[in-house]
Amino acid sequence: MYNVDFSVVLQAKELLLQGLMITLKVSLMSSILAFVLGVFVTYLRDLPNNFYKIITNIYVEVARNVPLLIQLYLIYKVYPHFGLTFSPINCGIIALSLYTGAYISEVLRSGMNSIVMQQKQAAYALGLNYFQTFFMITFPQAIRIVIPALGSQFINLIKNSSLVSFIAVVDVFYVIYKGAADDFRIYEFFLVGALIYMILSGFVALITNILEKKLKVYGREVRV
Amino acid sequence: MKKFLFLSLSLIIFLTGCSFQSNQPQLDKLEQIKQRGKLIVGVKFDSKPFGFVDENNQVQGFDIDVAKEIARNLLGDSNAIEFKQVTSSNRIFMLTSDAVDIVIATMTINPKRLEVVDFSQPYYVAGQAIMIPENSDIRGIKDLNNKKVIIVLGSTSEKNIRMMAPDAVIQGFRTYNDAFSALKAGRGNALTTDDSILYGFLDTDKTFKILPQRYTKEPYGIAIKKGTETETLRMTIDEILYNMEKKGTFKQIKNKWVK
Repeated sequence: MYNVDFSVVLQAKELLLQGLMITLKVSLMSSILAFVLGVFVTYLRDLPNNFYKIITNIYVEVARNVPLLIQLYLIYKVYPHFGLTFSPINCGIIALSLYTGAYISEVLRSGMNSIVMQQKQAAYALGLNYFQTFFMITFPQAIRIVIPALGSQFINLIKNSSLVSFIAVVDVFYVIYKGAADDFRIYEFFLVGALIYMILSGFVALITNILEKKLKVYGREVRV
Repeated sequence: MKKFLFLSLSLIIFLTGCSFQSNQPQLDKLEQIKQRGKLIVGVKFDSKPFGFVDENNQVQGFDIDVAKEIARNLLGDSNAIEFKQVTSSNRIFMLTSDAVDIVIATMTINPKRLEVVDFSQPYYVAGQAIMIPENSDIRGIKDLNNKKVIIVLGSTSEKNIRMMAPDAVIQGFRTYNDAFSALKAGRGNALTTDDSILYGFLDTDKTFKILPQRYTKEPYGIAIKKGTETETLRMTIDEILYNMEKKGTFKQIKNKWVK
């Protein structure tokens, strides 16, 4: 019979906290980079330029359709052959940003699609250029609509960040896995791990909910 | 709130579910194996020369030969056996979850592991060694401070390094192949684990060297799930190992795989 004993997890408290800082660092950096990338790709896709459209479509489809773990291994193991060597943690941040950036750009695109074309035409008629039209007229409206979907992407990013442990980045999951493998305390470590990730993601969910309420566009709410 | 209620409920069901299972009377493991007609053995697929996959996609190695010898003695047929891949980090889970009958996977007998699983008598004694690129200036374990040291998660090597070179930066991987390819790619300055496994890597790539010092004695044992139902199995295996030692079968296997 298996005795559940959570004291072993308490002993690993220091390591868990260090791991948590790494997970937070990876998640935060990748969130920012992924968001910037997503917005940039959405902007390029919005331009009346077929070349940009093709390039961005290729990027989005590749990044969306290749498993994150393979992308991670590619960046970690294959890039060095082409003279691009990053530290493990940077490999993780790059892979997560590229992967999530593609999803974010798709989410933003769905928001952009819901903005009626006449708004753009009106903006051009008033003499705004593409850049101004995008960042002053269409994008601010689009992002409000997709905040819930965007929040899920950031939540996914936090959970996906656990994959960086595969390339020896000492994040929370690495510590949990190590604890489970060294002390054979599988239940304790994985349950605590589940809880940690739930709290982290729950925090993001909370922020999204608040933002959603704050930035609600009257007359355009998504009714459940 | 609802979510948390649901979670805690599912947790309780999950945990109690596990205990229900173990309360059931269990059939003697040895009988189970005999009824099944084959032995399920957890071995490594990536640790030359102990357990590895050869050119013909067959699992080969020291541990595999030992397993075959045990199957021959238990069931009268050295091929009545199924090999399942285990890694350093999952072999104990494989055993406790009944996915395999026994684990023969370069597993060192130590007190901590003895709390969770049972071991047979040791069948091989290895020692922890350090592998470095040929042009490296590392001379001993003390030089590993502030260097990147590659290990495999769930192995005994990490504790020893932490004790003898506390400032080493440790990078843990899940399999030996991952660990060795990281060393090859220059992701770390040294790889440390049992010499027996390092020799296997040296076989495939001569641009590395193994330092002459051995830092520990690592007696390898056959791991068996703890419990009354496995007692006869453990004793039978000990007996088989004893006979193998006496007949010199071990010497043969050793000469075949380990120089």
